[in-house]
Amino acid sequence: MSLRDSWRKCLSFPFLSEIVAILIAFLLGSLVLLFTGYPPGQALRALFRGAFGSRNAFGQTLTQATPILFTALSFLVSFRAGIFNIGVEGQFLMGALVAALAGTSIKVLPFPVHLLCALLAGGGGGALWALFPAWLKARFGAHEVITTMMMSYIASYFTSYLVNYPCKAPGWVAQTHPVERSALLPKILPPTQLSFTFVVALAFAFFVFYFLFRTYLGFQIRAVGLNPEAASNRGIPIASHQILAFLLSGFVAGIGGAGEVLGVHGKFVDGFSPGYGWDGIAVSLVGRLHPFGCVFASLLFGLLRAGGMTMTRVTKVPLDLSLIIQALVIVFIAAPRFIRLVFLRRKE
Amino acid sequence: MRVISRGLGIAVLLLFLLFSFAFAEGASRIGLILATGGLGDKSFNDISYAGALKAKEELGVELDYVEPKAIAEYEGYQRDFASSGEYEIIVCVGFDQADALNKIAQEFPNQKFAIVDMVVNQPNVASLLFKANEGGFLLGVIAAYMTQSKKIGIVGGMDIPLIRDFFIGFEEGVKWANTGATVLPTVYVGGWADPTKGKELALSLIDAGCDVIWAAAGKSGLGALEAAKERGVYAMGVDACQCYLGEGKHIFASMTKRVDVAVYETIKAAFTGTFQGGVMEKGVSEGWVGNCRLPEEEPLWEEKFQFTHSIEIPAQVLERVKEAKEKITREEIVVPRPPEFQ
Repeated sequence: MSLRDSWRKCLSFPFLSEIVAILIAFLLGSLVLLFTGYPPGQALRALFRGAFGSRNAFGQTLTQATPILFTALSFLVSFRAGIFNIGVEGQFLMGALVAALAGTSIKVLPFPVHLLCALLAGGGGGALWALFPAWLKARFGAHEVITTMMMSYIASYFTSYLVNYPCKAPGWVAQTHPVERSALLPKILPPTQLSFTFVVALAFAFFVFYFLFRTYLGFQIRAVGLNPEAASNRGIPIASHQILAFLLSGFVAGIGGAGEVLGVHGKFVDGFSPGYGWDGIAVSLVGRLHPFGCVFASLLFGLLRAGGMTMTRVTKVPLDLSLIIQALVIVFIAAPRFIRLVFLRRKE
Repeated sequence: MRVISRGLGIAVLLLFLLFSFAFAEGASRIGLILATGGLGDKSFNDISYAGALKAKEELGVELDYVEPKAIAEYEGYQRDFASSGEYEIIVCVGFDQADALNKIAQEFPNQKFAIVDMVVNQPNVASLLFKANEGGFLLGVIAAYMTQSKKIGIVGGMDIPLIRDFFIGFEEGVKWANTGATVLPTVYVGGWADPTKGKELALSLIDAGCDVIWAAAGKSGLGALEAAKERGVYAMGVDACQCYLGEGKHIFASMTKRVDVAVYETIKAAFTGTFQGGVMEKGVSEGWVGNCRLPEEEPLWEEKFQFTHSIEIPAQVLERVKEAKEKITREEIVVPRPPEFQ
């Protein structure tokens, strides 16, 4: 066996190219730090300390990973059906708002029932927000990239209006009243912000996997995504399957928003999402558009976010630089062929 | 099995204690968590940072600061700062940090905290409040002399006690100056980030005959300043010296809320062992509120923002302002406040 063959064997090991991509991203990130005048060693140490150096850090990493796991799964479901749902952010926000309203206004239900209602209401809110672009696509062929993105902006301003005016709790902060105790998801690692939302997210990863890869309907949806014409010839109704995937995608995003409200914040605070929906798209791609890949990718992003907080505090490196590392990870993972080429130097 | 787990538990506990001691000794830094507006806002955050920076230089200690992007991030940052155990004091800027801080302060009862503009009722938190009514009084005195039409208009961000406090003092100052000037009823924008509406309201006040406009309305207030510029009438600033915003042409004075002084003093107290939790509410006599045209403040602001005040305040008016300040300090004048503050 020649050296080159053993190289190739190494690289066919699953996830190796991802790991190499992450390492290269960190290496380049260190160079960026070095050139901008920050000590990379100290910064990276702070990053990892902030990501798993303590109970708090660990809790923070998982807390940050949770919402992006939901949005990544949401994007993944629609993508597998050939739908490019860019507006996950809007469905996420609407889910959060509806869950907050259900959590504050219903007062008679006991603990698990109320919680379940609020969660499902959030999912419903997200699905409903996806329904309109889905209908536009099915009825008029309006491209979902444009409609969902615009719907995202509407959701962002609409929720902001609601919590600034009609649904605002008294006080100076634009937020809803706190959710009733009976609708709160319990915390896992007190006093950190980590809650059972994380467990729900993992359950959804498994659910999405099972649905897409182990059921007949999921198989049909994937078939539509891979080759609509072939699927159509086999008698699979494309439009209805795409709408279904669209709604499911909105549902998952909505549950994610609901989880943030019911598990982490306990209320809808104006502007609580720093763009989880948009991150989800990237995480989904880094996770190779597979539910379990998304779990690992969201953990990686959670690590960078949580560690980035400690890094800015300790080293004064702006948070933006840890976002640069994130961006580098995306670039290198999105280009696995590039890495293979570089390491194999082989014409395909 | 049980023995092992118990042994492990004890070992972890010991390690934890060891670490907390190690950290307790190393607590020698200043932590600063800014409000979501972030640095560069030319007022609240920049001033707070200036105060912390002054303390850092004077005390020769390290200053670490962060700029959260959303309210939801406050709790994570506060816990990150507090759990490191490296900070003598952690200063939280802005009333919207109160919810998170109330939780974190209980979680870390030995950590000193300070919060600007809000009360957090925990023994280890110093709540820094400002007697805005006294600053309003001083500004009212100047305004009473500067108006020709004898009509002054004020624009508020929201109809809440915090803002009414500014205006009650202001109206009292106008009355005290006794120049025959009156203040028209306050108009409220209903939000802090709506300069368009702020401008419209100010225009309606100018149409009603006002030739001096004051706004305490955050970003909405910038619209009111714009309206005054457009119509060629006077305006006044708030919080920081904002006179440079009109290139010194139409804004003649600003009431100042010296968050920098408050932050600096609190940090210094923490390092010299005189820190006390509880509400610290200070006004004109302690230098926590003032006016950018007072001789002791004017050069400071002009140097900070690199400009010079071009509108002359007559010497006799400045004398009256100084007199008012003296009397407030000696408690000969007690400026009223909204009932919620008593």
